[in-house]
Amino acid sequence: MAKILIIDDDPDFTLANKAILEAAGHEVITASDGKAGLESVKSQDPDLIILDIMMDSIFEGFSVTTTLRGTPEYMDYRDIPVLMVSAVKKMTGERFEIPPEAKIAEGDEFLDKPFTAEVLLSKVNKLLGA
Amino acid sequence: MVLRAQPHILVIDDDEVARDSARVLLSRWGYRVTLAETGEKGLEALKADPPDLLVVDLQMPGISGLEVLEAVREFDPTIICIMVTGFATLQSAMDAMKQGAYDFLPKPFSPDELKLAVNRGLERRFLEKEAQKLREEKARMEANFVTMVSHQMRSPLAAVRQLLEVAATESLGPLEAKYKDLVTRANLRIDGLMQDMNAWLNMVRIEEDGVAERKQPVKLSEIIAGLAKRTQMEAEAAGQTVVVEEAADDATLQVDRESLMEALYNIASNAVKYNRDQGQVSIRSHSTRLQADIIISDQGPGIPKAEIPYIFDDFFRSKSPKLKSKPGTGLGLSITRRIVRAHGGEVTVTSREDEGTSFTVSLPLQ
Repeated sequence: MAKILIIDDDPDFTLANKAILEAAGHEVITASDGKAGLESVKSQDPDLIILDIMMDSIFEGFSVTTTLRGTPEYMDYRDIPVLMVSAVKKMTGERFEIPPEAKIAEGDEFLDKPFTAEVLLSKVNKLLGA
Repeated sequence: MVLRAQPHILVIDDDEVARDSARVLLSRWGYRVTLAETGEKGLEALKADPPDLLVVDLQMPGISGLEVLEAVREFDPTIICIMVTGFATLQSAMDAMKQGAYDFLPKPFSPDELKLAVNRGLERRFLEKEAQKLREEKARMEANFVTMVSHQMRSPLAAVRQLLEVAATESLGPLEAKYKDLVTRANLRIDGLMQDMNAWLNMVRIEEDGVAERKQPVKLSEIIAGLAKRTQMEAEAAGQTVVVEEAADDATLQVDRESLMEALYNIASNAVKYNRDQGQVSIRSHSTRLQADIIISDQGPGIPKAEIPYIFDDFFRSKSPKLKSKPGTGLGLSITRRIVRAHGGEVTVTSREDEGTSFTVSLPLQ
């Protein structure tokens, strides 16, 4: 079973997803903002990151991925898969449009909040290669 | 009302007598007046202190009235221009109108004629300002609505749904059957509410500009295949069948794929929802040189004739008992029509009682 880091500023989401993931046997650590999340990446070395895009601003979520994937400091962690989640959408089914030069900011998978336990676990398993 | 303060009128005329009488009359009627004796000076004055209305002589030494009009239109097209001339010809009137003049006064004109022209022009100016203000207010309200629904309402609701998911999956330990039923019911209600919110958001979000920006070439056959696949799943679950008849020649359309699929699926999903038991949903397409038609039909009870004119209205729900019993927001078809119209197309419907309903989405080719 895997070690999963949830970075989300909504404590209820964190609580809910932690319960679902722990029930499936995963170990869960949490961070309530981008900065704390990045620190946990280094100190805990998780197998997977679940990242809320819209925390204080859209930049906070994307800046976590850009830092993770684009700075030498995080060289050893840049292959950690990232599942991006968000409750805000422009149009049903439509993702935030990311320009090609910012592809680095994109996670590996995306889920609209809320999601069922089944969908969450299947995405998690897919990203963990299980 | 905007700008009911003293209206400002600029008079450009090389004839001193004409300028003076305009000043006297317009001031007497309560307007603030600025005078200029050449086109050059007039434009300077206009840029320094933009008027609501401009009265300009056509024939002047230096730059002509027509050139002044052209410069004004470039500077601020909302300024109302009245052209004045001593040599009234049809051609000069037409030239002035072409350059954006609002009215044309042949010299000599009576004070009443001037008053009428100025009043009409200013009225138009106020109406335009008012319309502009309302447009801005509408845009602001729409933007606020989207922000409110998506952040203030959708996010907390999503969190509640996520918490209930923990209970529904008994992730923290088993739940008594009675409670589990409650949780399941609560989840269904929240899911329905969130779907409604998505529909509202979509409705506000569909703007022609957005659709135009996202347009790309897509083959008609691809659209039909995608729609059929999505409808198939829903139809199967409802014990119905889907029949697809495709156009012989495969046209290529310029569409915003995502919103168009949403529009078509809204219709197809209605066809399944309102169909008779073990009914058939048919998806057909054909194209001519100018347009492609996608026709989606069901074998349901049909839409009452009296309701047909209203089915595309926001929040319209049928009063017919056979149709009313199905859940819905009353927004699906209204969204559909917005999307189709944003593509330059149109959606039409024919319906026969107890035989079925048929929607046709027509889209222009090029």
